[in-house]
Amino acid sequence: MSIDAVNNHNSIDYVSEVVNGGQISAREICETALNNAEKDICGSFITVTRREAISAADRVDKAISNGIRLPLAGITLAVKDNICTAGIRTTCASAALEYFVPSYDATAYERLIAAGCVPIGKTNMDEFAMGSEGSLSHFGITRNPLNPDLIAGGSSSGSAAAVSAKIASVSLGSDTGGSSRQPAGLCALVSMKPTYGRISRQGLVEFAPSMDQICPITHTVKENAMIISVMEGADFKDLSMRRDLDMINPTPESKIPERMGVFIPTGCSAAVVNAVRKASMLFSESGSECEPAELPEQSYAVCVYNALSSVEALSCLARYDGMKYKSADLSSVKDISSAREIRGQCFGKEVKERLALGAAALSVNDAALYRTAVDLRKKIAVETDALFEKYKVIIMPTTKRTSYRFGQYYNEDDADLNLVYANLTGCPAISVPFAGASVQLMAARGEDNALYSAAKFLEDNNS
Amino acid sequence: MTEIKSYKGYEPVIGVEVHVELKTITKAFCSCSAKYGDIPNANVCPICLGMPGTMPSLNQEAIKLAAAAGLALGCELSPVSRFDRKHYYYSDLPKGYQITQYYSPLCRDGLLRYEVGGSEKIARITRIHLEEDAGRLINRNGETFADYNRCGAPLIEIVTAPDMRSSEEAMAFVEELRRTLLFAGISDCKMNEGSLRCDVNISVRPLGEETLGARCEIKNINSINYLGRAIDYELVRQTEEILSGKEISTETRRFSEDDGTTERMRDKETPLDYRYTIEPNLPPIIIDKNYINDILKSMPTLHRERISRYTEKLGLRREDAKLICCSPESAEYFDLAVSQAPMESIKTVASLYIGEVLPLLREKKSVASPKRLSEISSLYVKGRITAAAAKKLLVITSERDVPASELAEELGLTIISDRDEISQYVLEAVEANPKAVADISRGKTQAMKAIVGAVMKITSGRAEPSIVNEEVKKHFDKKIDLGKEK
Ligand SMILES: [Zn+2]
Repeated sequence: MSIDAVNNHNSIDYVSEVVNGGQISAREICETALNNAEKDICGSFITVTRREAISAADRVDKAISNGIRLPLAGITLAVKDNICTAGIRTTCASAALEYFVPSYDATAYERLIAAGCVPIGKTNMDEFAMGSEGSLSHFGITRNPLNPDLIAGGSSSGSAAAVSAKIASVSLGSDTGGSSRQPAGLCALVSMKPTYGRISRQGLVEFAPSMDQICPITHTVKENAMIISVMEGADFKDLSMRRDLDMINPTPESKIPERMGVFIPTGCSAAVVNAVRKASMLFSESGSECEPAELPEQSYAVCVYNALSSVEALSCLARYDGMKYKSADLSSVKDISSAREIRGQCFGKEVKERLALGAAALSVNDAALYRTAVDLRKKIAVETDALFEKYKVIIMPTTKRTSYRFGQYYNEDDADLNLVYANLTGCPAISVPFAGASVQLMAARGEDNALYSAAKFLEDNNS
Repeated sequence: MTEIKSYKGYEPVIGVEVHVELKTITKAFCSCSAKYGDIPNANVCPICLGMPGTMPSLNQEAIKLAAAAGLALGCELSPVSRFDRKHYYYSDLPKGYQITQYYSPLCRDGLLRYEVGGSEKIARITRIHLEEDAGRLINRNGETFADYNRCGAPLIEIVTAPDMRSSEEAMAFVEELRRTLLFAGISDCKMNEGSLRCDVNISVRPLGEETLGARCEIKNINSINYLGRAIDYELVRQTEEILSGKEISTETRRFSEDDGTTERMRDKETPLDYRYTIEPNLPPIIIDKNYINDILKSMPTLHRERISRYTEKLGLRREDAKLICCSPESAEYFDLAVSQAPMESIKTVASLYIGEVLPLLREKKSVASPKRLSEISSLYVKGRITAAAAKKLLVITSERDVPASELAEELGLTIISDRDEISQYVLEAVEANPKAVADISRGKTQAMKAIVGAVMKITSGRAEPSIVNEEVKKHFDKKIDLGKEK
């Protein structure tokens, strides 16, 4: 079997099948992927992990020669650089963690490797997952492989770009306020932000832990479900996990929801509106009851998200003082002001702004902003739950527009409206490419399988 | 030292915050050992070092001990309590925040009765919450070293209402609190090792005034004696400040062990300074009736109950009962001895225990077993050995664990109460002391004491003194009677 035949084939179950069958070695696939990663012109990778990839590929080949079948044999994996990988530097694209090499793997990553995945590199991102253009990395910008003049999105920019450029078969991103769904949407890929608590966060460097989830970015819905089904399941190291969820079906069937709400926020581009309309028409032609719906509390949902994520970031980033995981000259730390100066060198402007917002939310007017945001988040969750009493799935755009030039819409701050609900409420949401744009589907907590089925239906009927 | 109740017409108003390290095997949020005194940084892992991406686990034993502390101090346990993050920047705190319970503590609204000068006082416990300890910084030759062995060890913080009015009361309260936690098996409460630490809030006001003045907090006092000295110093300092027309600033102060003064560290933090947030990585602690019942069932008997049992059932003096309850080990030893002793020898068990065994137990020296103590007490009560012999036997059985009666025989420590035998010794004594005999015959009956003494000497103190007295008297009475008849 030729390597091109493998690389041009999208489906990871096919690749895994031929590797398990011994028709091609994991080593050969991984060498090609590594070469492509090293030649990458989009800035997808912070670290290409040649040594670790080859030893992982050899382990897979050895296991197979010993008659062991692996569910993800030889599948090349790119990992966002905020997911801990033992012995491999994990930077969060920040100067603060420039020299941080964890001694432990993230549980989700560890499970993929055990299933036969080969890690080819750590991907570029917006610093500490704060950003939506892939332009805020200490290691340079990420470009969109479909058109290098455009953004790949963010913050999981490199994870989307690496899969879109077919360097890696699949990748892991993280999603706190759309950070996986949005770049997947802009790079014509699939990404599911599962129900909060489905996938262990152990080893995911925190940004806003009440909302963070690790998410796969893949070419197809089925691949996405396969990856999640390997990563999910109880992990005693993450006490925030839910134990009451149905397992993900790794081969989702195409199925339409009975009732759907259609939400199109103001300010969407024609291409985006068109894609969502077309998708909802397709659903209703096939028998779904579709009607316009409004997400609750749209006037302040983004504010609540900004306040809470910034507060949590302020807390989680408090540990980075520039003295532990950075090559600061510690002999210069003599007093609190020199310590402050060293910490100041840790973070880029965006991170600092969010930390300042977090600090303000926790101090101005007796922390009124924080306390109000906590209450409003509960309100939004209750009202969203009520919405899902009525609709099985809500269909909406992933992003307001398709990919654009760096900084083109810099002054717009409500770009995340349709993305943040899934994070504020813990509900699952998936972005699927459809009709030249991307469509997002959201369901009630625990309804991840229903989302995969609806997404599969759209994917199967995408022309 | 003498504790002051008021100074120039001003009284102190005192509340304390006591930090107690829980007696768990592992730390609160990881599986590292919580042992004290290991070499620096022997007990650390990525979780307690706060490394990126790590998440806390939860030590169920710590929750149980914290809940037990609440029950021992008469608190209500919250059915649902949560963890929060308290942020501050210091090198002993690797995460930049401490996991604690700010918004919803585990225990609320308790109270502790304690005694001062024979009268009972009550201090209200406002709250008890569970949190983690920080590491320790060690300064040496101008360099600072960090030891994270204690970092993440489980602590409870016990906060009282401002219910104490003198250093004496505060000291008695903390001592009673310490003893309660010790007996409830919650902590080893060693102030010198830092497993019990005390912050004190103190303000002053004119006697009779109801409203509270501005208060200062004195941090990290590590002995009960220092607690009293710090309060007395503050009473005088704050009163003098007020009398000289100044205002007391709400601030955090440090007690100097060298000269007994306090000095300003910083303005007192407000909750806003700590930027409290919810801890999203830990589930709420749920406590139901069954959980509480299980804790109550396994709760050791507290010293208060023991003291009343000793006084009411065993008839001991209150002071003695309190001495016996100086530590759980002491009370347990005593209970074992009592359980093997007949009722009539219990007071002897108590007095021998307090006088002879307890001082050694306190110094962690080897002591006779409780069984031997009860045997020796019985021998004494039955009149088979003297008090001196009992003490001697206690010393010997601490090294040689053999039945006390055998040992007493072997060493010839049993009392001689046989009249014929004693009268023989009297004759020996009379022969050896002609001068005393002469004195007696001249009517100086006091000289009989010399003969009694001589008999005791001959028998190495084993002769029963009352019988010796009788036999000596009998001997000379006979002589005198004979003399009269002549
Ligand atoms: Zn640890």
